[in-house]
Amino acid sequence: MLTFNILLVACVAYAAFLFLVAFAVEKRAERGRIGWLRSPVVYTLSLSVYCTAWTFYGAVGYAARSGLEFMTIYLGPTLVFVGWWWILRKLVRIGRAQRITSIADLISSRYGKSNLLAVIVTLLAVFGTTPYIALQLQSISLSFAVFAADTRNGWEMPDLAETALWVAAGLTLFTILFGTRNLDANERHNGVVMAIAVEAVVKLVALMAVGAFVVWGVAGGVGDVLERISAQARPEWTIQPGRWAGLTFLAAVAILVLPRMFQVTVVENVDERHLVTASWAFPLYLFLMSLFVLPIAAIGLEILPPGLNPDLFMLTLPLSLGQEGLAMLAFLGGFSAATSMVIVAAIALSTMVSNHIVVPLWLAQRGGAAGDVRSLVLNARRVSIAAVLALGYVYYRVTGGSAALASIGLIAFVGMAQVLPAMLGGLFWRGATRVGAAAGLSLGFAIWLYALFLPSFGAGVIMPTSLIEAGPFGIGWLRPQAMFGVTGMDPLLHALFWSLALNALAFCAGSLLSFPGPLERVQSAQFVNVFDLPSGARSWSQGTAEAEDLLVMAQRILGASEAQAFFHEAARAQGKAGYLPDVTPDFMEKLERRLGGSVGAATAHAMIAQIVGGSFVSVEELLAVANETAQIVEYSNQLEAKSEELERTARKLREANDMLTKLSVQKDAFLSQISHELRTPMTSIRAFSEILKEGADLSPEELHKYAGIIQDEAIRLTRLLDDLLDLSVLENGQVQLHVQDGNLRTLIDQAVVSSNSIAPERRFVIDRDHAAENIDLHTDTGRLSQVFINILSNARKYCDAKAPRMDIRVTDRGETVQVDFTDNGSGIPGKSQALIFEKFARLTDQMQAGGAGLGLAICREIMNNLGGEISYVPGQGGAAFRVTFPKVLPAAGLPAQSDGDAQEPAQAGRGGASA
Amino acid sequence: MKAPRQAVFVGRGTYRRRRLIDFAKLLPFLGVALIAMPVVWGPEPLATVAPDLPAAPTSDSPPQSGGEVVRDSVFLFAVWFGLVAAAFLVALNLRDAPEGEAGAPSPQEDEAP
Repeated sequence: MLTFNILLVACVAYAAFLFLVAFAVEKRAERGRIGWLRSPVVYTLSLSVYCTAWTFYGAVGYAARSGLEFMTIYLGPTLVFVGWWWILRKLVRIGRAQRITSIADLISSRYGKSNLLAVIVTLLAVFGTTPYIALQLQSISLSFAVFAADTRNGWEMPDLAETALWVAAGLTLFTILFGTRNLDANERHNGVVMAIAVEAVVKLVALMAVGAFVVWGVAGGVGDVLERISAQARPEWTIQPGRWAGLTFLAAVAILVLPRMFQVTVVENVDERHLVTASWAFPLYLFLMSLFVLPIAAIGLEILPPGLNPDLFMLTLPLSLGQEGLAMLAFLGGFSAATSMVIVAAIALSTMVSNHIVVPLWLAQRGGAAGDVRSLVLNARRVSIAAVLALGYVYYRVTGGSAALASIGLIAFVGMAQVLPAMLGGLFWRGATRVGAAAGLSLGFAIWLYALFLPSFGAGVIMPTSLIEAGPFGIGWLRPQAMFGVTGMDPLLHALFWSLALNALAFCAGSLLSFPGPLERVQSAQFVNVFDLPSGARSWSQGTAEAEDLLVMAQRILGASEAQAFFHEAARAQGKAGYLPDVTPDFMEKLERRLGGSVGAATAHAMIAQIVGGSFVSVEELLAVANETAQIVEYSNQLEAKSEELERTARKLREANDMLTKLSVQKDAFLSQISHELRTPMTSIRAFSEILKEGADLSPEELHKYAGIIQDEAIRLTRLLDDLLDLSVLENGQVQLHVQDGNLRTLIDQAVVSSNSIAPERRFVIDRDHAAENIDLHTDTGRLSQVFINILSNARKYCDAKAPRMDIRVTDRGETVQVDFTDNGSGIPGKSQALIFEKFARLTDQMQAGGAGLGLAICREIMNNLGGEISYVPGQGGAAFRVTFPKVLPAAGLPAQSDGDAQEPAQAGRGGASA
Repeated sequence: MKAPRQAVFVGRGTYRRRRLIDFAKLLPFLGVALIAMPVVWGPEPLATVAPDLPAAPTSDSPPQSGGEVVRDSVFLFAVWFGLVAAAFLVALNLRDAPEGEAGAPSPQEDEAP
């Protein structure tokens, strides 16, 4: 016979066993021997927190009341897991890449790390989860009561409230012990997860044992059971299409958004590939959990006395048939289901409450001066766990277990479902914004409170009956359970429909109308395009690995010996040997400051945060990093520009130096040329003047001849000096131009006549086009004819043709005139063409009269001064010189203004024509 | 910056893997359609005759909707198991197939166009 004491002992022993499992696993994980602890099977089993006491006890009751409808609660999640490729895969990837700690953190992180959204989601979660925790406490108390009700054994009816209190206290202890060992909420709680996996097995085994007993022990096999089910069927068991679809949808949403499900699916996930296994294994688990629900319900209805709570058939059925061992197993199964849910929900809620409410408040109070945040966060989490459980207990005491188990579960589902639009929008829509999410969440939350949660306590308890009947202020279309005149709907579906529809509407409208901030846009890209980005999910989770990672990083920044010395020093200060100190906040602060000296404060912070994890980078920090980087880039750009400039300067200097060297060589050559040119006539003048001086016996003819030679040489000398002077004046630009009117034909006539004196014995044919030459000029005609004479004289001197001939072609180019002088000689060889305009450039050695080699150099200078140029045109069949010059010499030597003058009349003409 | 162009023709292995993923994506929709079947079938014609029954019906007054419940439950559990089996096959084949988001195209085994 089962006594209360035996039950209590079994219960405590089971709890102790769980403690032991969790403890052993934590120890094992600490030694780094994770191995099979992180297998996909454990992951799948941990997902079974979805099956709470509501499933274990409530599903049978649900089936007894509504037939197959209980299946919707498991079919929804089955669809989500079978279709894992759509949502779960992305969710898990984001959760790992962004180090998400809870569903509130997910929403907050997606929308620019907005704490407002995190607070809204946290509140929603607390509202939605507290009744659920109360439900678990209630189920444990009720199951105790079932055994106590069996008064034959003579034990007293235990105080239900007291039982619940003890259970709550035990759960608080367990959760705090194993749920807050590590600061990093993203780190897996190995002990907790393993305990939950064990509990998952226990509840599955218990349910299937009871089911098998019912099918093959009580009934005569499958066929018999089906017949009995058919016999027990009631009209309420008929599937209602609306509820069938709505509840399936609701359960599908719940598996995504319930805080405890998010905790085990996303936060506790260590390997994305586990999801692939879970995609079939978890639906299979749900399948097995549901398989025997209907048979148990049907047989219970058949053989148990009417009026018994169908929610407890799992216990009362074996008990009434004298199967106390089975009843004990079922009790432990229910106990497992309840405790695992409470533990995970408490961890998830406490993470949210501490991270998004307690710590921000505390930091705000302390003015942002962060002291020992680590212990603060841990303590906040511990307090939150106690508070969450206390809240659940208070809720249980206040409501007193009035409602049926299932209904409150669904109400909680609808509450959490409000997160769906913001979550899916955040996952798949870049345009979703914080404003939209806040609007949708708040509106959905409000409608849920108004249309479902508050009325669920019953008319007149919190909401006045008049309000439910007639609407606020008598406004009929705002009645909580018949909004906008929709009266034909089930209250739950009604609330689900309106809250989610208006929520989604507000979310979309808010997103479309608002503009996201910079961090929001960064995050939206990180979330929506998570698969396109390189996976940044590295595991810095192991405590021992952290110091080493920090050392590796510090070595990179400080240099090996310096970093090692720093770490060694820190380790010695902590009383440790070796190079790896404990990663205390104090040490981190020192290290950060030390690194900050090298890479800038913001970068150092971000780097350490990346290794240690958990802490997030604020926009200010990002901007600081960006600024530092920008400064460095700018500095390096400046350096580069400077070095380029230096290089340019050096090149210029080198060029200038080359030029100077060349000029110096040129000057030397010029001087030696001049000396040579001056010396030749001087020598003959000296010689003949000496003859004249000494020889008195010279005949008058000889006297005349020698004096003539001296005179000729003196004249040549003078001309040479004149040329040099002329060239120097022209080169310095100091020449005085005598500008006057003239005609090109006259100038050429004069030049031809003048040049005839050179080598008069040669007969030249001059080919001219007199008509084309008739161009009026306004320039220094004297200088211009000097150029022509020089060219013609050169032709007479150097043209080596038998029948020499000169073509003079004049081309009128509007502003300028081009005159080509082409003879029929052999021309100037290519390599010499560049030299002919240089001083003292003579192509032949033969000394010709008056040829000092300055003629063409002077011509070039003259043409420069007249605003034109002289050039040699190769390939014309002989020596060809082209002289180009403006018809009208520009006043200050600037030929630029003429353009404007020429355009004006043309424009005026066009204007007139169009008018 | 534009993402690198995706290959138009991919290797046989990658092709099969993508179709497998397509199947995985279609699976939930198939599930929805099948799960909705009992609703479409609706109650059997005689079910409406049933009067309001006492809380625990006695075995001598068999309700009219019994066959329908058995039919629906057997059907639903069969569908359910089928979904699990299909997901299991997908998982099994995905594990064997090469890793990667949509399978990196391998040029040496391009499919003939």
